[in-house]
Amino acid sequence: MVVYVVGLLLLSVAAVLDASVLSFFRIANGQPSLVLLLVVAWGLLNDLADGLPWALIGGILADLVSVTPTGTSSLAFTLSLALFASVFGQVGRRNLLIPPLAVGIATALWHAVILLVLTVMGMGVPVDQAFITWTLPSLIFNAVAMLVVFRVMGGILALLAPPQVRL
Amino acid sequence: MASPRTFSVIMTLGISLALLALSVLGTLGPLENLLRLPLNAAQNLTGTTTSDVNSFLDTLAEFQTLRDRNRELEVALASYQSELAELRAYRADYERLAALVNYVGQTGQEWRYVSADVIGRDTSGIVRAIHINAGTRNGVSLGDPVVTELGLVGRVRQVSANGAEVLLISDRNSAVNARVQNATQERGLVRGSVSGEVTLDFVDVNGQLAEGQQVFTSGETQNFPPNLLLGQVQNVRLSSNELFRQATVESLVDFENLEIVLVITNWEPVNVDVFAEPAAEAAAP
Repeated sequence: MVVYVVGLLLLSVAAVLDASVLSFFRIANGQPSLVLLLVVAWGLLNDLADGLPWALIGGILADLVSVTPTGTSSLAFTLSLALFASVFGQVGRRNLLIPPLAVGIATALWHAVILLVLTVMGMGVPVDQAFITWTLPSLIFNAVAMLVVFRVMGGILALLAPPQVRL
Repeated sequence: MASPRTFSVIMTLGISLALLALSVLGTLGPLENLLRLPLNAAQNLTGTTTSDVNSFLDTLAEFQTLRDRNRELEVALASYQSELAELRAYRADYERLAALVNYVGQTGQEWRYVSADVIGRDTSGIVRAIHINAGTRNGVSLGDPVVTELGLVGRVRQVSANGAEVLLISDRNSAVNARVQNATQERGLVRGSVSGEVTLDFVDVNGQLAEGQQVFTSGETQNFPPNLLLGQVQNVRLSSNELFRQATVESLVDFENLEIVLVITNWEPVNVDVFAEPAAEAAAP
């Protein structure tokens, strides 16, 4: 239960920071998304079943501070976590390779879903332009930021749910 | 039989898809507005602080540039003051003549403004939109034009009780009917782009479009009120099919560093749709 309360708090703060702090410091039209980083980090560190509520709640919060309709980001986050669970499984908190790779894939998938939904809503953007001006810089930002976020989330997880030892 | 893991994934995907469908249909609107209340309040707090810090850092970084710019502006101000005096004389003439013929024009309208702080930007990054801390409680409604003293910013796209989302004119899905201030008063369409560049398009190829001319909203199609400044013409060129001229519009508004905006709350577009209906009905079998 504590895990979910902490998760909701962390994700809410991340959504607000994404919209009101990080969005003011964009470089080359890209910015890291704290919500995405938290969801992917939690999904990699935990079992899929523990990660899915974060994907759903994080996605809803991300959409509430964005133009995209509610459910868009949850859909992308859920697909990402399901993919990572089947390809990578659970990842150790000291892993330096898989987290940036996974968040790169999640960024691309997220943006693809957003583009698809925006196209359906009549607000489409050419995919090639979107990739160069938006996805690529965001992907790099997220991959770099993930190195820090993953370690921090690993620490938080260790505090909230220390590994059980059988005596 | 699906494993519990697969079942959880399908359930979460199903909930997401259901939310997406309801949100697109607008059914979730009231709930979304309710959930946005605490987020807007938190954004209001952090967004204003961030904006102040950002502004301070920018000032530090651009100190020398600002000094040079200040000198340039002082020179420009001196020349504009004499021009202003001349224009005031013209305006007095205009008002006198308009009163003589009972002309009801579109100029001189008293706009009612609601000022708002910019508290955030769209997090998706691909859509150029800002969040402001004024909503229906302050009289803001869907479609209201948003301006600054330097020109048009955009229009309200989503609104909740204490906040609103404004789609900027630099967004790719923005289109504003425009008029160039020159002898031939050419019409065109000002559009945004993925990179944020604002372009004036569909201008008559035989017109007198030139760099430095100012572009205003034309008021046609009633999407925006007329005579709101959009920017200055730069880099005039032929369109790719060579049928029209196009140009970059350099807005005076710095869309990346907006801090305070004004929402025009009393603009009511003339409903021109009714004029199209009889023709459409007549054409129907």
